[in-house]
Amino acid sequence: CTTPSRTAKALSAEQVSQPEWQGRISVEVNGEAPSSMSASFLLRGDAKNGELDLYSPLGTTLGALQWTPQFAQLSDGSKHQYFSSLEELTEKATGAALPIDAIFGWLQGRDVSTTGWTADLSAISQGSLSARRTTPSPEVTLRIKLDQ
Amino acid sequence: SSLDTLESFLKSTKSGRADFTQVVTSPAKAGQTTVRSKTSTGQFSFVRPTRFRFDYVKPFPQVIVADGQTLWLYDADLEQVTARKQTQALGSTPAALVATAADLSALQKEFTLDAQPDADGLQWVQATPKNRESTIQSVRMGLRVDGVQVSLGKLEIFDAMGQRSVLSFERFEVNPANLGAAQFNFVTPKGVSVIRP
Repeated sequence: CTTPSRTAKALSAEQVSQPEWQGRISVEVNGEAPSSMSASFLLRGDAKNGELDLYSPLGTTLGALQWTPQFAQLSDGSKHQYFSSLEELTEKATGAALPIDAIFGWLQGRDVSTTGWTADLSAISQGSLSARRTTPSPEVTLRIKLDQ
Repeated sequence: SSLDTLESFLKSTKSGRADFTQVVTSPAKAGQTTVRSKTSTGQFSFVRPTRFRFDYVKPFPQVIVADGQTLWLYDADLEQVTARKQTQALGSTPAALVATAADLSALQKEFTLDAQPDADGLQWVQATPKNRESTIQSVRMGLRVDGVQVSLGKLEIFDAMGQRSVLSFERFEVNPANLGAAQFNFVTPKGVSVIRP
């Protein structure tokens, strides 16, 4: 996608006062090339316009993801990378393409269905949720624990 | 100068243990005025040259252990252990600064060091990563001198995204007798999955 003319930081008004979630996230990818990441996070906005910041336990930023209908961007301070989709962006940052739209729903306790994923919201009232992707392979396990 | 104090800290403090309070401050988001900050507490210990651990207690249990080969991160709530090769993970992280460098020149391979004025009763050194790719902009170390002994009072980490993390250390034990390599062997808790990339 083309690099946007306006800077990434110029967010529109309705993006300013938006729902947000803070906690920890882990993404585990099984299969031949297994990978795992875990980080603290701040998630704001929605699947159309939003931000996901990932932090190490020591408080340093691992990556800042930002998306609007025009672009999907990952920055880590020294460089910005643009992606053609939110799935590609989340795959680069966490190792797996995450169903961001469904995640926003799950965090609000709504058992949104999304192809290939099944979510367990049984402990969402304590701020815990997990979801597993069975298709396409490799299998992916997502876990989120919200700060209480 | 504070660089000499840092040199003596690296040379004379072979191991250490202290309680820490960590306050991470994030810049306000676009359109928001409130700066966000998160406080956590725990215990930090290290044995030069390759072992250290952060045992976070509050607000939730989390463990970071460097055992000499592998850097382990265990999050009890997420029931997950992440393991990285220590050489890849350390590079220019602040923990490497404090706990593993054998002397000033070892540190200067990774960081540009500048003496800074004393403040808060501590002697300060600023370290800037030489690796431009690093997401860490700079680290400031506040050293406490008690007579002959040098210990660490504060560690301030500034990252390129405006995050500021300040670790304050208390009850710092220098070269405690009962601290050795054995305290840095990470054992994966039962029923927890481990993926070693």
